[in-house]
Amino acid sequence: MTPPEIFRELSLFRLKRSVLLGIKSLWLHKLRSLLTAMGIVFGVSSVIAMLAIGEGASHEAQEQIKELGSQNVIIRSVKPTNSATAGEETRSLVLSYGLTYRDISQIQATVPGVEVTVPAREMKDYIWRGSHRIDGTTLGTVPWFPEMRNRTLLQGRYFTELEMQQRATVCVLSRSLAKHLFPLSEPIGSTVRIRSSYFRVIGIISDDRAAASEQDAPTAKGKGKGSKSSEGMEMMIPLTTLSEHFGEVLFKYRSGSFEAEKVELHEVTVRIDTPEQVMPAADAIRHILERNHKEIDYTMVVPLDLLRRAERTKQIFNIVLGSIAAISLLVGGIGIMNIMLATVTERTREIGIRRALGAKKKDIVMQFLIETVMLSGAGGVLGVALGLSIPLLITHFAEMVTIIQLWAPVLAFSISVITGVLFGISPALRAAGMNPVEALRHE
Amino acid sequence: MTAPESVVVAPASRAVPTPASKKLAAPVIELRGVEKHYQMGDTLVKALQGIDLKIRHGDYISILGPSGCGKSTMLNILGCLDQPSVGQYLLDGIDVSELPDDELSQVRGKKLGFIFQSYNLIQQLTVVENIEVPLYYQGVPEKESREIAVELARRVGLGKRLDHRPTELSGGQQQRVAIARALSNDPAVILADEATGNLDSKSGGDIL
Repeated sequence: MTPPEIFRELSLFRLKRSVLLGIKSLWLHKLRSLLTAMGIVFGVSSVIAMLAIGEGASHEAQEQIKELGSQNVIIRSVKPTNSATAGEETRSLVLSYGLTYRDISQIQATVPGVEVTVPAREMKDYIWRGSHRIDGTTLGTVPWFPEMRNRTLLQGRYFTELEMQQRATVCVLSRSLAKHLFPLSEPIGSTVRIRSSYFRVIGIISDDRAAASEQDAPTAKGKGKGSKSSEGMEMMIPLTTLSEHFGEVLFKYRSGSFEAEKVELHEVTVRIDTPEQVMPAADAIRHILERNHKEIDYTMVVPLDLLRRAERTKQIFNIVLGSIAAISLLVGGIGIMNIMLATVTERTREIGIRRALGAKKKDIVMQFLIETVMLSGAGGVLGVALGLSIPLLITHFAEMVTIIQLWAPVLAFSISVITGVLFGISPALRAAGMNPVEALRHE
Repeated sequence: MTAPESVVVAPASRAVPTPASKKLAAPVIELRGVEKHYQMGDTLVKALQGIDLKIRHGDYISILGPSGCGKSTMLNILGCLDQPSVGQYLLDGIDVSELPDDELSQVRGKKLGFIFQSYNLIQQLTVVENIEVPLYYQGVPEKESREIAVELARRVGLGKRLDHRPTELSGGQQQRVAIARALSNDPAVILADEATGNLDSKSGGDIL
């Protein structure tokens, strides 16, 4: 074959006419074409929709975990549920549990690569502004708390080390607390009261999204049960100030009942120097705590561990998704192949006529291959449209975050076209392989 | 079968002189000792035996014979749809008896025009598009092929039915589309199987 001839074979005008011919043939059996393409439509759209939902969910989880700090290990005190000790403790009226200063000094002394520790105590009590009160958490902590926990200061400033030494009565409010306590006026510079102590507001800090959803599972998102009142209502004061004003034993007065707890530290954040050391250091800390505490009155959160688990979950999700996509596209492809084989038989005579009038085998192959690809490609386009609209609907009605990545529809569409080529080859070859004489005689 | 069947072999002549029509002396079709054998189970059926034939440009040849005498086999070989088992077939100077499939298709598209007994139009295409099919496989540009097809449709009296589909035409009209299609690629030879059978004697005469 001479070069100009090859050029002619590949020329766009031939392709354009083949495509037009394909459309015409498919249009002749509209319903059949539509039903045949359905398999691909649903395969493609489910791939895009599921990818968007999965990506959205894992993105949200990862954001929350990252907010905790990937090099941190967070240890919290938990009230033990063991009834034996509870009975024993009621005699002394004061329930004593949780992390101690001793734990912290031991961790600092024995675990290598521990950078800073953020001790924090918390106290649940009413926070007053004039006669207006809110059930919130008062957090006694250190000046570097926001940096360690990736909380951003929205307004004003955080308290300093000097203020901590001086046991200053200053406080920083979380955004939602500030919004509820000061719906109209400017919070900075005003005073709030806890029991009989007054605190000057010096700053406003972002809400703790991570802890909120971590506590009552990602599904409820802080909306479940009556926890709404205290969730995210945080006020931060220097650790030293908390001890001085409210002592080591914390009392809780709740509608007639009375509870006393002695907890040295409610929460400790340990930062580890390098990401590689996070897991070994976490193990070391766990050992120290296990030795010091007879019962489990603490929990450890290793954000890096959570992050890895989230990534693993996402991987599994992707594998499952990939299999579903592969199966549905396989089914769709088989459906298309089935119909195309029927079409070839049905159009045997046309094939004979075309062959007699000068069509080469490859012309016939191209004709049927293009027709199959058109069918699956049209299914792909419909599938992409459907697949893009499903996440939008989900975001709109279910208020779930969905993320559509650019490559998802591109990938899904190309797979639909590839499916068309793969499953179109066999019917097209069958059409081209027919003997023209017999094809012409076919009824 | 009572009525004798006929196969017409007619080298085409168009108003415009073509290179093919100039060399009038050379035979356009030449068969040399052509035989066609079929293997039917254990027996070898010899459908054609020792055929020698020369047809010159401008000749108008009818092949007549009873049913089953090998007319169709002969037509298939002449139409390059099938190749002889033994012997040589020269079409317009080219030996087509041993050509590979692709080149055989090329020869069919270039040199031959077919008028089938049962019209054999493509149902999903319109009149013009049906006439254009051989031009399409010759790679004739769209505009040019459309002009040729419209002109031919006019000449067979279907100028007003260009966009009709075969199912919307009468038998005679369909046959005329088939004839126009056979002429579209300006073939050296037209092969017709009962070409004018469905036309009344007047229009049949016009076509021939």
